[in-house]
Amino acid sequence: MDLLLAQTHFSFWIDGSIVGLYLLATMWTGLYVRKYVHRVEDFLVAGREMNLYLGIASLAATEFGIITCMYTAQSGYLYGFAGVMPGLCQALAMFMIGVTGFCVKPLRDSGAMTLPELFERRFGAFVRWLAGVVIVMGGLLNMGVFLKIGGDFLCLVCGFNISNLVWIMTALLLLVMVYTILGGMLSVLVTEFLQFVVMSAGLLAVTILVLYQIGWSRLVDTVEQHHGVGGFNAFIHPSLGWDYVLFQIIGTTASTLTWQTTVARLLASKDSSTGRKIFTQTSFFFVCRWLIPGIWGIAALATLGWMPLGELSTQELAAVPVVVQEKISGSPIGKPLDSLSDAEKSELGPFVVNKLNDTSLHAMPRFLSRFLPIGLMGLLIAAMLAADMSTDSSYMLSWGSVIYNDIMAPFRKRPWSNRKAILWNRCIVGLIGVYLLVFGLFYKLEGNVWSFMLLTGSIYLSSMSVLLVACCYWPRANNWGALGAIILGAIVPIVQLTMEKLPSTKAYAAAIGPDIAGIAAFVAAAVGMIIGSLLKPHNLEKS
Amino acid sequence: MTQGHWFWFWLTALSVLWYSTITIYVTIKGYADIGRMLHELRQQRDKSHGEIKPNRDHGETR
Repeated sequence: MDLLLAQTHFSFWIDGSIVGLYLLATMWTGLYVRKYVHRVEDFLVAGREMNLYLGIASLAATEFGIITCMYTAQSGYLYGFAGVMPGLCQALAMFMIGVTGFCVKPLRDSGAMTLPELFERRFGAFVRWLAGVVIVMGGLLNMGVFLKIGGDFLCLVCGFNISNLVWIMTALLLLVMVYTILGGMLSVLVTEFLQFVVMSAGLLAVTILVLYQIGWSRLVDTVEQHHGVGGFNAFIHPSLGWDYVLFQIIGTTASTLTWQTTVARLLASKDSSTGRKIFTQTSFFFVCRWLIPGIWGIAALATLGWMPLGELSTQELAAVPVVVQEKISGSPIGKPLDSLSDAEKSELGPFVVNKLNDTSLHAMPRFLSRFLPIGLMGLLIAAMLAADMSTDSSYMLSWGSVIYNDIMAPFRKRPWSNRKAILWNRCIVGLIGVYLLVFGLFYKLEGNVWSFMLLTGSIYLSSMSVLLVACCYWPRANNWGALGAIILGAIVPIVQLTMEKLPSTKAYAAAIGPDIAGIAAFVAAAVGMIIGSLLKPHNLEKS
Repeated sequence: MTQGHWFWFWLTALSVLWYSTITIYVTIKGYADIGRMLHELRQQRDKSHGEIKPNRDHGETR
């Protein structure tokens, strides 16, 4: 308990200077390259001039943000080493796709700037537009929690009052928006290179210190003590199991094929061969992406233990009856309210309930705030800022490119001038930034962050992956099938998310769980594609 | 030392080693990639602007 309440090691002058230096370097770099942006292709895909190593740095930096660090550490804290399973699945998927060129070769060879643009050639203009809407809806819903969780991390590590969260979120967003709006993909790629270097140095330094000071044996003992054999094997972990593993295999394969930020790197590469090499050579990074913060999460469990009441202030704790306190203290890891009755939960109030639910998510930053020495703390914060800025900028640009290229396509009867196109893209990125701020402030996330993200992502991952595979390899696929896949693939996760929020259906949603709902979304999308395509009469298909 | 969990021990060791190596390698090669990319974009811009272009150093055309 003392550790939770103790002050952070953050030094305003020493650590603050390291962070300030990093921010200055990033802003200068991002603004310097904006002079090379002249055409809309430069803004959206960096003129398709990205080479292998810049691609690896960019993809690695994009796919690792504070949000990634938080949910992978939460997985390590909640499930031990078994929580690393999604990383293993994604690494394998990425390697196999890179080696075989499955879908990614025809996609890059097509010369399309986005996935929906490729779909138009096979399924028509309406499918392109609808695919754009679904991609943006799923992607933005997924991205909505980024800023809030990034702000939480910085407040906890630096010891800032959580009431400053709004200002930290706004400042972070403004910095990223300035260079993304001005320089587009070109600024994003070059700043991501810098961010990759800073992020990797910070991640490695902290991990080596954790392994050296906490020790491997203590980490293993902690997992054994809290999770038993299931802590080392996802298939037999009581909270995970086969449905979790199956959803990870399907979901991570689909995200490798169709996740807009990953696809944007493939499409910005010089050719399909370079794109495939980026996939194979970045694949092992996805193991590191889960394992390194996962070890931080296990270290947090080893040093802090499971103490949900440590999240509450002295006044909040005093208001909780002793019987309820005992029940919360004795609850299983990650489920502080499991032993409470409905009356006891409502007596606690939503604010305290939310704080208790955040225990597993906040464990890692609380641990690091006390564990790291001055200097290394500055490097960690710079690394996390680097990770977060690269993710935010890339996500804003990637989804902005779909809005411009596909959703707005019907409104461009004649090609726009480069000047007008770039101006519109800049406005779209700005509006996405405003949405992020508003959504981040008002949406309350409950439960496992990664499960939420994979479920919201599957609104589009399910249908888009089915469309891509069918588009590349099934000659019988047509627009009826595409529409069936998009509609059915989106309905399942949307219904599940709505049921989770409605008090009357919350229990049913919990019984089904995000993993079964996610698998169902992929099955529904595939069924929609097959039935829709086969139902369309041949004479209509020819016309 | 591995306490029977050799898979996780070696995977952790490999991750730290691989990530350190790739960071150094990609930092060096990626820097060169940026130089090449900006050079290509500068050439494309010059081509699209045509042959007549003001010479910034001397205020002349070339």
